[in-house]
Amino acid sequence: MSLKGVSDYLRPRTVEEAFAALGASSRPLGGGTALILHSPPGLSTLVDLRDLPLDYIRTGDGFRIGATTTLTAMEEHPDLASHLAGVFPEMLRHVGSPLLRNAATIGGHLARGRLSDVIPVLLALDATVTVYDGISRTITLEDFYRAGIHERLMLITEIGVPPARPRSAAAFVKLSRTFYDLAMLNCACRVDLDEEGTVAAARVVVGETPALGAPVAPAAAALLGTSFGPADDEAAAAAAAGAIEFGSDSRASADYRAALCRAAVTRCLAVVRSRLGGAS
Amino acid sequence: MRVSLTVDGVARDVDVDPGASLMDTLRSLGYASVKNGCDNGDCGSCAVLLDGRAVNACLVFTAHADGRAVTTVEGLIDLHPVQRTMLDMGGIQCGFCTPGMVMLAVDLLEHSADLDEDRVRDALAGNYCRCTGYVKQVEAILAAAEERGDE
Repeated sequence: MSLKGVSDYLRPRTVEEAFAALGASSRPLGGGTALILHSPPGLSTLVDLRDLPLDYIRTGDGFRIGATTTLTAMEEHPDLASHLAGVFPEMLRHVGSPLLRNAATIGGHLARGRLSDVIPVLLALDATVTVYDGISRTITLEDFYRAGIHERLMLITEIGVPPARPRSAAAFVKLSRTFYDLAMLNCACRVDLDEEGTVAAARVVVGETPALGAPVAPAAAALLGTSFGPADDEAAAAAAAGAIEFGSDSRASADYRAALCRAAVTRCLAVVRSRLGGAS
Repeated sequence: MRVSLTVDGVARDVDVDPGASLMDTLRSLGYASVKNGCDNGDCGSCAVLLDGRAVNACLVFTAHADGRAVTTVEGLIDLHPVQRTMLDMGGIQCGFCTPGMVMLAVDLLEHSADLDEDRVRDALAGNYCRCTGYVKQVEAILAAAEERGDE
């Protein structure tokens, strides 16, 4: 969809240069797939980030993913694909289509900050994001959205995924009308067990409520300290459905979402349990 | 602005609007196989390879493709194996979605090992066909995968 009214197209070589080029009528472009469909009014300058040295996936102490890495590159990276029993490809194959994932970048996706299957998984994994807005700083992805930083003038430069703990598993569940459709609701969970098999840490993230995915603290609290049996899934699911204020839109009603939430959390935790069983 | 592309192996210098989509630019250059189905990233009829990966040409700025290689279905040499299996197995009815679907299949066959029906159906999530119900195309892509050695 060609955009009318765009007069300049810049290709900065450094993050500093790219940030300096941003303004009210000037937007950064990773793959461009979201910007070309939903351009802000008055957009006159496109700042293409492709020449920045941000197309990488580094392994070692967890993962560091450059902001202009495509979703396909994440899906195909062997170490990232096998991390936590394959939660990344499990989720990424639901994100749009291969045609979109080949172009869309992780930084662009996180900066958009809406309609996301990716964000719940990254939140469940305690991911961090490195942002440049004159200075560079690394914060948790949770704080990034809580503070609304994605709505400010800034550049995402890197996403960090911490290493897995010894007995840790994660899973993702998307409930949508058709495979390619946006989620009516989605859920990502992570559970870490200690040496006795007791839950030492848990994350239950529910998204498309229809708000952006966010960790649901009461649901995680319901799991903490338990031996993580099937009854604990039900308790966590009930806690999640009780804690979230669901809304209605064209995809699903609030009441239906509450029911979907209980089903999604229960299913997601059951997958996590099966993965922990396989690993121990 | 000036943009230099290689389209189907031919170097092209084009003067485009900075907001132009690759789909509009390719069609204005005469690549009629790049179909404008939805101009919205939903249908996949405009899919081309950009440096070897299939993308919706309607969602890519032409300037973003500067210095890169674009391949349309017109640039496939002779008949690609998946074009032949599509012909053999009746994967084509009206033909509108075919160029985009072939380019998606070329990327898939190039980058995915051990294809099975689930994987192929997942991959076709962004390529709409109104005629066939997908059965013939899925069979054709699987046949091409089998020819290269997938079980």
